[in-house]
Amino acid sequence: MLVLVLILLPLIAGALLFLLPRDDVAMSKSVGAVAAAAVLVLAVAERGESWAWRWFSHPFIAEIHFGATYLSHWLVVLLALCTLCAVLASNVPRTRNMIAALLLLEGTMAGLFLARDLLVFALFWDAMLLPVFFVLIGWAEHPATAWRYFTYNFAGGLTLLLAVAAFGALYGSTDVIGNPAYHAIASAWAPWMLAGFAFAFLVKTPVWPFHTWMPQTYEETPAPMVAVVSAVQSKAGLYGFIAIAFALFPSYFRQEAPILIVLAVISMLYGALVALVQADAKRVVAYSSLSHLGLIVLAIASQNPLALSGALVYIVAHGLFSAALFLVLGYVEEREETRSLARLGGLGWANPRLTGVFCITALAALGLPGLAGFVGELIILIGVYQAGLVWAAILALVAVVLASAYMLRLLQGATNGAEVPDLPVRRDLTLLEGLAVAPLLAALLYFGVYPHALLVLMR
Amino acid sequence: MAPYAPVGIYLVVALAAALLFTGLPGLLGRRKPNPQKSDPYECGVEPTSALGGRFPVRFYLIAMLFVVFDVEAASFYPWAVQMHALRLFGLFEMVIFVIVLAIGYAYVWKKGGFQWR
Amino acid sequence: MSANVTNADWAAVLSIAVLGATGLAVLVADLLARTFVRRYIAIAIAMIGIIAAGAIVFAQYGTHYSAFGGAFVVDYASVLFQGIVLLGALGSVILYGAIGEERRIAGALALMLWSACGAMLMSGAGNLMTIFLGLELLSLALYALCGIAERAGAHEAALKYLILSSTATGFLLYGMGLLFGATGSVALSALSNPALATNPIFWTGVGLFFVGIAFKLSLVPFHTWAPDVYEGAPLPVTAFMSVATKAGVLAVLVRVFLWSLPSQHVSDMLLPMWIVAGISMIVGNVGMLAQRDLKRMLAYSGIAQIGYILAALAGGSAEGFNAALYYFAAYSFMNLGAFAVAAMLSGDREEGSVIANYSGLGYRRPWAALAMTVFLLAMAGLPPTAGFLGKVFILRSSVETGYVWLAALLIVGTAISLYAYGRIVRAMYDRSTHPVPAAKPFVPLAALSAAICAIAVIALTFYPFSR
Repeated sequence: MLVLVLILLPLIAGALLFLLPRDDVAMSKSVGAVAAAAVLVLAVAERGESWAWRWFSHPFIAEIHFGATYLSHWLVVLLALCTLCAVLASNVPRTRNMIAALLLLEGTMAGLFLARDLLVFALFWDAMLLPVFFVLIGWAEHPATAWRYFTYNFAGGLTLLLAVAAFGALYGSTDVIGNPAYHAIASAWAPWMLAGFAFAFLVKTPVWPFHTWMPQTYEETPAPMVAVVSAVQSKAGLYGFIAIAFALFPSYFRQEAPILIVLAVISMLYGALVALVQADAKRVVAYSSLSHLGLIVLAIASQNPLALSGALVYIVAHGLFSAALFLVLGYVEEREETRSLARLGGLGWANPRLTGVFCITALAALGLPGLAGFVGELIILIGVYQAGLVWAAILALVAVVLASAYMLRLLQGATNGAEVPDLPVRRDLTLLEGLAVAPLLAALLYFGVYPHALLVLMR
Repeated sequence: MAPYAPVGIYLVVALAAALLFTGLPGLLGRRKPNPQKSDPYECGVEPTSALGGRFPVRFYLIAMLFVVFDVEAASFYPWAVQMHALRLFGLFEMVIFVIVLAIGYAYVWKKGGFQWR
Repeated sequence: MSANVTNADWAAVLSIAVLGATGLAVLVADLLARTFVRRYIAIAIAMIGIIAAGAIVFAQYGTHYSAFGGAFVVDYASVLFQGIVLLGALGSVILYGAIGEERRIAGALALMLWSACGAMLMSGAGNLMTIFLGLELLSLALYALCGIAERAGAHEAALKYLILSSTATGFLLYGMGLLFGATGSVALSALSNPALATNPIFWTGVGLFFVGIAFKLSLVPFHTWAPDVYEGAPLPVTAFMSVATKAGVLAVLVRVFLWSLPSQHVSDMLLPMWIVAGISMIVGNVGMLAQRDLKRMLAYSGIAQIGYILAALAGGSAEGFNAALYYFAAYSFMNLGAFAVAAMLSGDREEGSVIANYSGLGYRRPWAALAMTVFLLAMAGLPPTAGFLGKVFILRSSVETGYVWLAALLIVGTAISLYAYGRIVRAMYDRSTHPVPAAKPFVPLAALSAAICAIAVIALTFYPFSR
């Protein structure tokens, strides 16, 4: 029952939020924060309960079945934490609608991660696109961005649906995610199904060359929403690779893994190089995400146990620091009314606290030892090396080094140097804004010095 | 195809008979045409216009309503012949039939279907 | 066949009688009622009659009875098809609350009810005579219904429908004649004699019969009338044609082709039928792409959807039949719902059937747009709607019975259709400057129908009755 509450609570809260007065920012923020906090508590307290209801058994078995596996448990905790921070940090026009959208996104994504049935997974896969889509329609500079986001991801959703339908038809049941009774499906269609699943995951993650929707989407989505999208929604693809593509089609996945490895390495290098020359702060982080997620895809594709556990750590770490980065960039944009790296500069003089937070976040993103990102990167690199993919490990290392270059370029460009005279000067980080990022930074530090916590629990 | 032979024979005979009876008058009849004979048959009244001309669409409506009552009459006959054999069941059938027809009649009347507009 | 007709026989057709009597009651009420309430009284009586007939039909659920010496059959299929016919009638009748000329409402409703009687008769037809009787009752009323509106397009549609449909009936009748010649009986049960399998007259009859049926179902290559007639006919009539008519004809198709023909030869000889189904899926979906009129588009959509349903039937398995019934029920709800939304937006000139008028609807009429989105998603076969689940069921049954090529065509067709449906959804949520007709006042009945259909389309996903 608890898992069901975990999904329904944010959905209901999000819907009810529309009943509140449109302009009462404080009230909608506090209601949203209470709901998000409650979800976080439930997510942490959740201990592998499951809930199932027989959907239909004819012509194949499908259950509305929710339950957490170790990976989805952590993803849901990450989701709840990021949503709470994003709700607290929300400071956009029409705040109430934004918070409602955040909660709806949380509910649909919790449903996605907790789904144990492929059909339910597919349902939530499409559902989680909608809150982002409507936020883009409402807040983005160009409506075309919304359609681009939707079209790309929905195309992935369609191949996913098709693959699920084929799977149900041929296997006789879709209640297979994390199901110990599952025996690998043997069918001439299995490679096609795998391709259908993989396409959806590649677009969603994204992996080069399916990433073209991402930079613009990340650039135009308001900070709170993009924090959750980049931190958690992108993990839906990775989760899919681990829990579906790898778990359900082990032999075919092994067979096709080299393709994935090549794509992952290209993503890493391409993302890092393009991030180096971006003029827009949000785009830098968007491309850095492409690079970082490529590393995780590489880890999954290498199928080395060590690399996989590194991937689990890095999934959480990337979620934490990318959410924090986008929130911080949101703060910067609010104060300076620009995201252009050519305009920004000298932020540190007037906003020391903001600069401090920015600095920790950027260091976490570039993999400073002592913060969670480093642990993940290190374990993945060792694992990939162990798997015999020496060339991939070396190229990945290049991308990791490049991360320092673009992250420092971003940080220094915005905060160091002389104060730019024609930029507005606003007050420094408020307590609430600080509180919104603090849990993310604390978690980064905690998992940086004690990654065991993640690894033990995940085993 | 054997069972269809009677049908084929029937068709041939019917066609032949029809051709025969339409052809015979032309061969055997005597022709003495005069203007009165060539007129369309109009009960002795002088025709006022050409026969092939157009006439009001209202005729169709009246004709259609007439057909309804024509069919009614046509279905009364077999019932009347078999009234005793069909007993009460047949009577009820007919009553229901007449009621349905009466409602239709009332509807047409009330809607002005009989007015020459 | 003597006159020993029992009460049980009458009970089997009681629902049809109730429906027919309701038609009369509507006419009488129209004569007696005052002008300003006439419309709603007529609609109320018609709805009560349909619901009463529905109650009688569903009381027959689970029973099996052969009435009038086999002329009319009550079974699982007849109950479900009759249920769908009544559903279609209900969903169409309710639309007259929003559109249509007041003084013609009663006549139109009565005709629609009688037409539904014909479709119900076809649903349970046990011999060729009953099939023909039902078909004529259905069609004759529809010809008049198509032409009942004042618009020029309506008359054109009525005439086109009359001529083409009569031709098709001719084919059907010729086929029936040959079948009668081959078997010496009008009973459908006589068709299953294995000795017939080598009789060319018999198969010619089956072929001609199928041409007639394919025309009525608007399957490619006999589909060309459908878009024109759908476009020209008044909205409620189009809704009725797209659901109730198809239900009746589909029931005949199932009974004759799947359940009555000599079984060992069916799969070979019926191959043309499945090919027709496959072509319909593609042609229907491609045809949708360029349409500017909603009713035309739904006509093409209907062509494709009937193709899907036939694909489910192709294997002849019980599972396939269930999948077809499920999909057809879902199809009924989504079509009726789409027409209800169109009626909500329509004035005297049926603005709701012009696709351009939907642009920006999401901001002007958010609930109507949401409902329309649900119906379009369902037609495209996307979750969380019954259209998706239905397509999954069909895929499963056609793959299992070896018709993989039909499954592949279904997928290709669906992919094509996404663009056509997506176009409307996108237009509804685009902020555009396209000039649209002034907002229509709230239409409670049509809105109610749209809401019920939208809920049903989603609820059927979670309670598929085949589980």
